[in-house]
Amino acid sequence: MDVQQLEKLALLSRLALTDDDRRDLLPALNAIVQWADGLHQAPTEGIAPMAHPHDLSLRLREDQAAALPPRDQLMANAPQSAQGLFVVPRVVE
Amino acid sequence: MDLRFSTLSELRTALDAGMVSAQELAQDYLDALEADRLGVALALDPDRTQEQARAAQRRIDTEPAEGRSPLVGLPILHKDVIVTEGWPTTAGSKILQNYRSPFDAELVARLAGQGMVCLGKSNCDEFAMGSANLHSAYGVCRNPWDPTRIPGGSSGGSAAAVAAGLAPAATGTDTGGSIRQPAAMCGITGIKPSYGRISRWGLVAYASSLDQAGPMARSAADCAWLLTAMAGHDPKDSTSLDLPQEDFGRLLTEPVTPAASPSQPLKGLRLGLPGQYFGPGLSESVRGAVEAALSVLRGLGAECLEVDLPRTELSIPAYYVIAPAEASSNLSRFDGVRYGHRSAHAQDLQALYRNSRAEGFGPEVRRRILVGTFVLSHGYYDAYYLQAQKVRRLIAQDFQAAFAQCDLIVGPVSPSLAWPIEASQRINDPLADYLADIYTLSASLAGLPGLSMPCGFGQPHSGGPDLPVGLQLIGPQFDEARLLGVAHRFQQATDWHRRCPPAPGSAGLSFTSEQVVASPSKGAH
Repeated sequence: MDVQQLEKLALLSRLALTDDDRRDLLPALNAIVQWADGLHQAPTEGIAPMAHPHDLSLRLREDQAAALPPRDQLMANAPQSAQGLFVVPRVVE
Repeated sequence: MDLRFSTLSELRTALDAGMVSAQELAQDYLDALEADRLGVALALDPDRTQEQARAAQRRIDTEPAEGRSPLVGLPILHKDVIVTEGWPTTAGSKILQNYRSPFDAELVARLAGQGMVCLGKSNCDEFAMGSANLHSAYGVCRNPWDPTRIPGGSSGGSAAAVAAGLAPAATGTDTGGSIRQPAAMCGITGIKPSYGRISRWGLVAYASSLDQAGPMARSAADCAWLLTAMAGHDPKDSTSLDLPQEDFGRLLTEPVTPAASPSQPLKGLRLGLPGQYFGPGLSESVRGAVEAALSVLRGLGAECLEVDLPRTELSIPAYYVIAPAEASSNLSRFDGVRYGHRSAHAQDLQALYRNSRAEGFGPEVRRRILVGTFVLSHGYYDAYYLQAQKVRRLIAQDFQAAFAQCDLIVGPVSPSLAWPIEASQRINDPLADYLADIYTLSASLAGLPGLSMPCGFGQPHSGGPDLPVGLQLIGPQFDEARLLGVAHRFQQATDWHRRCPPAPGSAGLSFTSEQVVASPSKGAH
C-alpha cells in the first residue's frame, strides 16, 4: 500500500488525514494487510463463504405501526438542528 | 463478610432478610465507585440509581418472595457500548461524548424489568475495539490485582469493577473475546452466549455478525441468573433467535451428565483439549494454572481427550479482516450530522464528514475502519473479505468435528497474564495485541458459547503480584446451561472465584458470614 492508496481509502472512509497519520498509518496498515495474506494458506476451493453464524433467512413481520421515541427526543443529540431538521453546510449552490 | 465481595445470591439473602435495603446496598457501591481510582466507571448518576433502588425495595417489601425475580434490588454496572436512557453512552469514544440514548437497550430493559438497579456505565475500549482497555478515550482502566497492569478488554471496566468489589455484576459484550479475556485477567466469571441468544438491540454495533452481550459476575451461578434474565427472542433484532425460554441455571442442581454422582459430578463428561491451545505461545504461568484446573476437573470425573482445531491460528487474520470490514460499515453512521461530535472546521459537507470523524475517532478505530474499507474495496474483496469468510466456515466445521468427539472444549483464555500498561503504551504494536486473542476468536467466528472462570494465579516474569488466570470452556451452540453447570461444579470444588484483590483501604457494609449463611434464602447457591 502506498500513500496514494491510503489517500483513496481515507476518502472512501470519510476520514481526514494529517501528516502524522500518513507517517504512522502506512506501516501499520501494510503490516496488517501482509499478515492477512496468511489467509491464503488455507485451501478454500468449494467452501461457501460464511457471513453469519446462523443460516437464517430474513424474518418478515406484519406491517404494523409501533410507537417510537418522540421526534424531539430523537433530535436532541443533533449537533445542529432547526425546525425539527438537521442542519448541514450548504450542499447546493 | 464484606458485602462488596458477596455473590448475588448472598446479596439476595441479605436483602430478603432485611439486613440491608436496596438503597443502602446501591449507596455502598456508589460510594465505592466514586472513590475508585482504577478508572472503572464512565458515568454515575446517584439520584437515578437511588430512584431505581427505592422502586426495587418497594417490590421487596410488597411482593411475595415466591415468584419474584431473584434479581430484584441487586445492583449492576452496564458496559458503555450498551445504551441506557438515563445515563450517557459514549462507547468509550470522543465521537459520542455526551450522547444520551432516547431508549434502553433490550437487555438493559430486561434486567431493569427484573428489578436490577443500574449503578452506571463502565469503561471500555473505544467501540469495543481492543484487548487491554487502552483504547478508551476517557482514560485507561487498571487491573485491581496490580494497578500497573491492564484489566483486559474490551469489557475492562466491567471486569475490574466486579473484581475490585465496586459492583457485584456487570454486563459486557464479546466480539472476539471481550467478555472472556478481561474476566480471566481480573479473576471473575463471564460468559459469552451463543450468537443470537441475547438481543443486540441497543448495542453500539462493532461487528454485527460477531457481537454478543453477556454477564460478568463473581460465580457461574450468578452468571446463570443474569443470563436467564437477559436472553430471549426480541423481534427488534433480526438476528435474535426465537428459541424457547430457558433456565440457564438448571444444571447447577440437576446432574450435568447421566453418570454423575455426588463425588463424581462430572463423570462421563468428555472434555476436548485442542493441542493448538497448549502450543509454544502459551506462557508457563498460564499453562501451570490451566493444567492444575484440568486435574481438578478430572478429579470430578471428567475425561480429557485431545481434539484438533487445525485452523486456530488462521482465526486471527480471519477475525481481523471480518470484524474491521463490518466495523467500517457500521461506523459510517457517525457523520457529525445526526448525533455525536461535529467538527467546528468544515465549510462543506465532505469536510464536515471527514473532519468530524477524524477528530472523533481514536487511532485504533481509524486503523480498523481503514483496514475494513481496504478489504471491502474493489480488487481486494475476493482476496481478503471473501477468503476470510471461507476460512470462517472451515473454523466452524473444525468445531463441529471436535464436538463429535467431546462434549465441551477446555483451554486457556489468554496466552499470557495481564500485561503492563506502560510497556504496551510505549511499544504500541497492534499486531502483538491481536495475537493475544488467539484462544477466543475462533469461538466467536463460529458463534459458539464460551465461558471464562478463574482457575488459579500465575507469577509475571517482570515481577509484581501474582495475577489471575482464566480457564475457558467452549460449548456447542446453545449449550450455555452445561457450560455453567460444569463451571459451577468446578467452583464448588475450588475457591479461586472467591479470592479478592488487595483492598485499596476502604471498608464497606459488612456482616459476619454466619449472619448471611444463617438467613433464609430462596435462591442461595
